[in-house]
Amino acid sequence: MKRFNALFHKEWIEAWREKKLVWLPAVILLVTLLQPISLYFMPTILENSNSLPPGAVIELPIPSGAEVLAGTLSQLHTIGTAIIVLACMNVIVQERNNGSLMQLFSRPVNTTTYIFSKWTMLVLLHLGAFTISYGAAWYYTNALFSDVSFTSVWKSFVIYCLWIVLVITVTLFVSTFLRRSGGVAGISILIVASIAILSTVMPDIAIYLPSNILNLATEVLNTEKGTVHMGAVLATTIAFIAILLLTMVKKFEKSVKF
Amino acid sequence: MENTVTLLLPIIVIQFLLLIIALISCIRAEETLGPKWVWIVIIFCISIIGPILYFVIGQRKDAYK
Repeated sequence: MKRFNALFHKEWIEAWREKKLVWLPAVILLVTLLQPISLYFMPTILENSNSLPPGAVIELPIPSGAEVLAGTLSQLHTIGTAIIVLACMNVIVQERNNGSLMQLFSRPVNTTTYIFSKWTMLVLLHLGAFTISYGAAWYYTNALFSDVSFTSVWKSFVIYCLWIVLVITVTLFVSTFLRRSGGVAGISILIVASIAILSTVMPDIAIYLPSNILNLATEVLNTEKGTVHMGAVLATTIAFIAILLLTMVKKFEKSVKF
Repeated sequence: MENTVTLLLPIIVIQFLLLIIALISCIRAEETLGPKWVWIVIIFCISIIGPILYFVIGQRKDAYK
């Protein structure tokens, strides 16, 4: 536990030095805030664009608060996922390449402690950033559109957190066996995208898989309660995360033996 | 009109913050991956994505100790 604390502390210091502690929350906040605000200004934007013929009448229905928040989540699902992968791709690879990993493991440090300190730090950082941005998006939605109840926001928040943790775990998993950060980003995005695509390719199976998380969160926002498949999706996601973590630790142990 | 400004203020502030932090950390870094002036130009000219690019691939980790 002592070693874990030391490594954990080191991770935060490093995140501060890289300014990840600042830019990651800022970028995620930007991505989430842009959705409600741009939806709010959509009529004005359309009015001022010159590409419309004179006399054209566009009537946009005002979206409900739940729809706006769901849009925010789907925005995060595309851009946010890419940002998370980019933010996580360097953590192990860079240390391996500049030799500090060798130095670290010449001391009595357990690979499990090492991986878990990194994982915990990344999860806390991303979930913190997501909490701030989702809260801000909720505030804006309530102010500009209709009110969304706290229970549905809270439930969708918890459901979507699992997706973020999954993306982080996949990226860390890939970075334990690749040596280039570009490769890590590519493969991780490929894996995450194929998980997401499953819901359109095999809809029957995918309702039980993590690919359904976004749909679930949207549904919870709209109806305040999840479908029957909610438990199954959450269970498979957690199982998936656990399996990835275990194999990652095993694999990493082998790769750092000299 | 006033409403518009107050609504957009957070976004402008965050964007500005990103730019400033990226610039400071780029200028203070001893070494960046690639020429430093190119990074400064990128941070200035490509809004939002420029600073992110610098933070993700421009920093060299063993440059600061």
